[in-house]
Amino acid sequence: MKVHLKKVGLPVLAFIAVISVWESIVRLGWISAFILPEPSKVWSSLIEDWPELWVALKTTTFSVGISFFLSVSIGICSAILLFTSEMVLLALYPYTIFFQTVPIIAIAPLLVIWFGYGVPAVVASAFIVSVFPVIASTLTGLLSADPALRDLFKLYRASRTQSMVKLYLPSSIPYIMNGLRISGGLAVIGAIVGEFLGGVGIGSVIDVARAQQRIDKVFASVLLASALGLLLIKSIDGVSYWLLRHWHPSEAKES
Amino acid sequence: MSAFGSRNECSTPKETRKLIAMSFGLSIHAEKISQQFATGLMPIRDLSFICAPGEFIALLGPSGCGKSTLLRMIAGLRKPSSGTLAVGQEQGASEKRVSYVFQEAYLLPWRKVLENVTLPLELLGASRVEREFKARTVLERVGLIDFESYYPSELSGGMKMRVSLARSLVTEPQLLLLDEPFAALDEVTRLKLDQELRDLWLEAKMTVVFVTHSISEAAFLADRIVMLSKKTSGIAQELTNPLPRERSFATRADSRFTELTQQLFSQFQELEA
Repeated sequence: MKVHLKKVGLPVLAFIAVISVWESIVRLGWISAFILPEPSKVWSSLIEDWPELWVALKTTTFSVGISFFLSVSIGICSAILLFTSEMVLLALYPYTIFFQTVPIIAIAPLLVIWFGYGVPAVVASAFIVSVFPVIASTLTGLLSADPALRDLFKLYRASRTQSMVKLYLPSSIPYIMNGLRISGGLAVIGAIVGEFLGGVGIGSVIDVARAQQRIDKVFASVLLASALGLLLIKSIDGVSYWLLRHWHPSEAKES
Repeated sequence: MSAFGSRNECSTPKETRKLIAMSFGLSIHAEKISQQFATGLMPIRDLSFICAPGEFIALLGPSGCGKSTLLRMIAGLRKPSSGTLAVGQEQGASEKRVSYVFQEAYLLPWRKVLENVTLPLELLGASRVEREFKARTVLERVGLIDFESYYPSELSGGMKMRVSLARSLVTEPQLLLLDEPFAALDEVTRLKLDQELRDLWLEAKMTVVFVTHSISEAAFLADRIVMLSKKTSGIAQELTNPLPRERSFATRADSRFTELTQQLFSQFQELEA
């Protein structure tokens, strides 16, 4: 109980402290509200602009959802493919790193040219930045299946499919989950970047609000985007706990 | 899918089939086998030995003498670099049931105890009913039937090893290979499991090759003790165990047991010198 109180209480306390300091600094005029709007102003923008923000948030959530789903499914499948054939691995793995290193902000305009304004360009942008962590973590997971267990499967003449389904994939779940957490955060960032140019969703609201000097609205939007990322990562945590609670130390029950 | 599955549907009466499976261990014929690693290291060199069907052999030697490498070759997990190694020649081309127990339990942590034990039968394509029936039979035998729905993480080291043993027995192996299986366990658990393994072998009569670096364990368990030498990468000595077939805790106080361990110990020292 005491631990629980600390775990919830301390972050809340820290939050209140930061917010009050921030609010007073701006009210005292030490920092101009143009540069840094006080928390109360951000809050009122959140309320006043809610209808617009809500529509934008729904669009962004949809794009993030689609691109995250694509990253997970395409990422895991590609990793399996890379793992299954050494030839494919040697030939293609260097190019998957491209997804990790590409400066998304630079190619986002191209995506708009290719996919047009709107959701498709946003999904493409979010997918590009979020697929690599899934590929890399799944591949690491597949490669780190225990050698003794591999021997066991070999001894009982397991087929490739049997080994994949009953040994390699289950062994990689902890790694995949880790990759998904990173990928989820990146999908939100990629979507916002795409929306700057794609003209839809929270990213577009941020872009317009900035041009109108509505810094409070920018902050409100950023807050929503962060909340979306947090929600996604927390859901992944939930799935991870559900899948691993019985067997992996990372999700072991507290005793 | 595999020959194992079809064998279970063949027309031989069940009891007869059981007798054949139970009474026939596989033989091992190794002739001048060597194993050389890519690093140039040669843990096994020109080693020859014969193991009769149904024999219980202990491979004894200091660590790094190539015991595990030899066992892996017998299991077919590694091909000898040279020489011939034949397992179960007399069985012809028919499917041979070989099981392997590792130094640690190596259970699939995401599967419950029962599902871990059914795994080999699952891979060999047996039906669900058969799998679970056989798995429960061996779990009963190792005393873990009440734990079938536990996860490995909820078991003690000794219990995990018992599950591992059950998993190796579920296919009714004709050849059981064990690589220092009880080395990581506490003394009492280890003595108990030694006893249980010996009793199991008396019932099932499969061939057993047991790798160990413990002199007393080799002396207690095996009918024949094969000592490996690190220096020559081959067999230093073979000894037939004078102890009776039925062994119990009292056997360890038997003068023949003491003599045998003494003898093995002095040879061990010579090898090290």
